[in-house]
Amino acid sequence: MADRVAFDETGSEAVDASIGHAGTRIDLDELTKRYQVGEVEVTALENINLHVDEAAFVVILGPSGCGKTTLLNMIGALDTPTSGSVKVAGIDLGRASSGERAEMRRNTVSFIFQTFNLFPALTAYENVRFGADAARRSDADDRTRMALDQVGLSPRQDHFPHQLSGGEQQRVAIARALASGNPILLADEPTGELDFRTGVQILQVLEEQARAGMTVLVVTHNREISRIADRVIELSSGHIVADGPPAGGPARTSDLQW
Amino acid sequence: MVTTPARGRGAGFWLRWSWRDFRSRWIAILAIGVVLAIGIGVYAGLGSTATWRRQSNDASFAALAMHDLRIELSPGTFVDQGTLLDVVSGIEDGSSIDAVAERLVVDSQVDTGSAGIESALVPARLVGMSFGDGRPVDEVWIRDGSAPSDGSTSSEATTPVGVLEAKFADFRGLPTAGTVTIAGGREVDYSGLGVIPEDFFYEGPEGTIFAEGELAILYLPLAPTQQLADRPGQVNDLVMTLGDGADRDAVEAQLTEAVNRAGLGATVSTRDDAVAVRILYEDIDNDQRFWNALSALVLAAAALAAFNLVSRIVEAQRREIGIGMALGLPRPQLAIRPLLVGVQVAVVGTIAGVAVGYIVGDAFAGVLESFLPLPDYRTGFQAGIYAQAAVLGLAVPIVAAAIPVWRAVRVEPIEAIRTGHLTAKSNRLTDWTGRIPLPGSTLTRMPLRNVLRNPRRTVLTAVGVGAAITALVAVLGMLDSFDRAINRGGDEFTRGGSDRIIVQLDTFYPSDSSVVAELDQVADVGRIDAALRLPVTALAADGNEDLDLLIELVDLDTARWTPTVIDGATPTGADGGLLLARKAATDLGVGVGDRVTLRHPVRTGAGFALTETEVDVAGIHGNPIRTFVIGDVSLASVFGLQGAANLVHVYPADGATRADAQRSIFDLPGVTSSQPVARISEAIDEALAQIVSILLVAAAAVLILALLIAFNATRITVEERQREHATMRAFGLPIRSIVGTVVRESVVTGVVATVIGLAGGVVFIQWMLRSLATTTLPDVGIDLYVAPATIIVAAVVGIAVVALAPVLLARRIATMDVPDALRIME
Ligand SMILES: Nc1ncnc2c1ncn2[C@@H]1O[C@H](COP(=O)(O)OP(=O)(O)OP(=O)(O)O)[C@@H](O)[C@H]1O
Ligand SMILES: [Mg+2]
Repeated sequence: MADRVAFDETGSEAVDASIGHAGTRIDLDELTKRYQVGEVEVTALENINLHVDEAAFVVILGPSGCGKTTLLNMIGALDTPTSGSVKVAGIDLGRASSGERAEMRRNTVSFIFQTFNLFPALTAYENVRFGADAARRSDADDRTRMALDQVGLSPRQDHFPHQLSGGEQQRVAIARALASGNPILLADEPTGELDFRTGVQILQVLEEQARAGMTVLVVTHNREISRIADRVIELSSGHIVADGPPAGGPARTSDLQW
Repeated sequence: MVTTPARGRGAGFWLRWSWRDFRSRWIAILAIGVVLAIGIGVYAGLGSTATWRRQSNDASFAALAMHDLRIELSPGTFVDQGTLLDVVSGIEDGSSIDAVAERLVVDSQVDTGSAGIESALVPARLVGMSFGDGRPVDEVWIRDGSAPSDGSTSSEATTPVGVLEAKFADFRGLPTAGTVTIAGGREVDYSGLGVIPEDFFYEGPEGTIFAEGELAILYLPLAPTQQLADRPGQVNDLVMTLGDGADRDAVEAQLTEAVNRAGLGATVSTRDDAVAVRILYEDIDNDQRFWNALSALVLAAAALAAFNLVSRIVEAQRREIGIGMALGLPRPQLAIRPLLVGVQVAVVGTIAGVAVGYIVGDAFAGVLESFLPLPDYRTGFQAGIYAQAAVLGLAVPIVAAAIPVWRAVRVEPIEAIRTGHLTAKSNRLTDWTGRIPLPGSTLTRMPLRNVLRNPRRTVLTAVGVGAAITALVAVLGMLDSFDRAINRGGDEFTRGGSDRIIVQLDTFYPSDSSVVAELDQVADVGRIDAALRLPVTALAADGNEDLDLLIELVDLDTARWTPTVIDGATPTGADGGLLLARKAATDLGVGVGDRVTLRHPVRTGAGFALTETEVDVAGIHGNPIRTFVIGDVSLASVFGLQGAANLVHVYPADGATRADAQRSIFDLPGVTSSQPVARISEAIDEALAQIVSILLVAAAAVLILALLIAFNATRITVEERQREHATMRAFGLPIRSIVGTVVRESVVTGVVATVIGLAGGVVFIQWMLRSLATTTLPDVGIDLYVAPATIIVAAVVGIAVVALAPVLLARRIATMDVPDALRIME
């Protein structure tokens, strides 16, 4: 409990200082993304309209290949839409320069990648610290230790990625995103490699960020996870097929089971 | 993306896969191929010179019917035309003589004033010979212009027409045809430039290395030569060729006996005694040793780099090999794709290598031709050495590809899959180096971490770049060392004024004689210092070779020119000793304060006798030329020549030029030649210029090599780190910072490479200079010297270029598909 208080303090400080309310706002209008692979055109997303206007815990649900990662990449200013517009924290990413887009990634959004993408030459601690350093946090060391603590990896902080299990690597990736302290957290299958107990712990941590004023977007194909969300967006073949609170209202993480 | 073959497939499947591999990295393959090609090319190009030079020499001597035997009458003696022919035809094996010709060879002087760009007075030799009549022996090769028409077998009224020796004309910038004035004020026309085989190479008045441009040889028909020399109907020389199967030694013996019987003072020499034959063939072997070492170094650098680059590409497939093993594929099948990388590089490298070799060989031949004009240069393709280089070119990349494959298939599949290629297999060293605490943010730490996590690869890359820098430092450092030796020599000669002229007298005159005094009285002459120059042989301490040296005695107290004493002291008084060149002291095994025994002439009444005297080594003078020994004029008593001079240092008067002074002493009695010291240092320059020009060709090749290696190594790094760079971009880091991490990583490698390169280069130069000192250039003391500019070039290539290569690759980082790179599940 003491940990949580400490995190809340530093976390909210960062959020308040940098952005305020508009900093977590996401607006997608008529967003379409197509890939051209030789003769074949793959439509990953089509006419997506999505608005997140306040700090929330949002789950994006859908089967494999439906466009979830693509969607996160659009919001995270990693990829550009074929048509339509993406606005994050009030900035139109379609019109932003590449420098503005980089600045957005640096100070507004944080990624937890489906494929982890850890730096093989850095230890767990250094990988996490990278998140704080990239966001230019002056209290990088504190943030790093806290984030490692939150994902339960403090004892393994001097190990290299190849010395960690898949789940442990995933937790390092999560801690790296947390350490950045950015107000929008984009988590791509953050529990994909985790057992139930660890998975729930991680979700708890993510949920706390949302309560502290961040927008947390969690992508998953696990319907059970969507039960704890404030809002569930269901994707199917690049279209939004459902959008609203989870059936039966938000549940507590302690009620989850898979 | 890992494409996993489901089942064993046919060759078509593997070929398709390899084709895809090739398409995605053909630039790398080409670039590595070119690196290898430069190595192979330089090796083959420089390594094959001995073969074609020997062939060219053989062909050139044969084309002009170089004599097999030669009879020279003692200096100053002449016989009537026909006398020598009679002697020769009388020998027992007379029938084995193929062609024979009498000649008249006399010394003179030439003033090129009427023909040359720069007027000069130089020693000359007139060779009276036959032009195109009878069976050929020692013919003139007319390089430019035309042969004198035979009608010019002139009467006294017309100007004689001949051929001027080509190298002299080149050196002095003389036109293809013109007129020169010889001693006595007589004019001689020349209708072309050319050379006879025995003059392909000749010794100058100061020993071999000063020959360039210092001796004017004129080939003239016999009759006009006799007139010019005031020897009507007389000759002093005979040359002959022998038929196939003749016993040269037997004929030589018979000739010697015959000339003795005829009461002629003469020497009989063979073709192999000729300086040109000796030097042209000896040079090849000595030079070849030098070029072999240099080209081997370049080849080693290129091979090492190619090896490193290929193994890095193949190592990137380590995980795929692991997956293949996990799927139970047989090892040979897994080896096919990575080995194909090696094969592709091998093929590119070998083909391009032949092309590079041709270019290098051609450049070498071009340089050589300009220094050594021969009628028949045969710079054909040398299959043998190319085959040798090609075998290496094929083997290196294939072995380079095989080693990482072997390393991957040796371990458990899971090890190969888990560790990938960017993280070395954990061991105590890498875990320890990987955890060394480093200052700064993670971003600034990352480059060093990358280096420390995989020291083996870092060292391999650094050694690859370092080898190229070694070659660069070696080549440039050799140039520096030569250059410094040349400058030191030049400075030494021109001490006391660069307008000094060395005037040689035809014999020994008292210093107060009218011959010497008249020189001083010439209006254009400002000052003279009389001196003595004598040939001596320094007898070496045990084990060392005796040296033929030139001793020059000047008044060290009063003369305007005196040598720099770099060690010991200026000798004074009659037993003050002498100053040796550092090289001579080293070769003789003596130091300052030791005694050296000279075998030298001493005047006895009317003639000279040889005797031996022990003299002190008082010090070392600053001239790198080994031949020069300097002493005080008081030593003259040792030679029985006190108060005598055969050499005068002449300085032009104020307001008169060097040429003015030279011209006004041209016709003075007793003067045989005058040589400005400025020309001597030019001549040293010229003597080394051949090696220098070829070194420059090598330097260019090596520079390109170093740049290519640096760039390639960085390119591979950028490719390997693509995923990490994408992650950094996802965290919003600007391109600048990401490039910065690569730059810093490269700088670490670059610094290591530069240190390796400088150290390796210095060791190599030292070794080369030691071998040069004994074989290729024994006459010059060349000390190791690496100029600051060379160190800067090495650092620029090793650090700046290596560090800047990522900047060139910034576009790749900026334009990469970030989502794609991040999506990949390795
Ligand atoms: N670079 C690309 N080129 C071509 N097609 C692509 C590319 N990236 C994604 N796609 C396609 O776009 C669609 C959506 O991909 P995306 O990665 O967003 O799916 P996802 O919902 O995240 O799936 P998963 O749950 O398996 O991760 C897929 O059909 C995919 O094949
Ligand atoms: Mg996905």
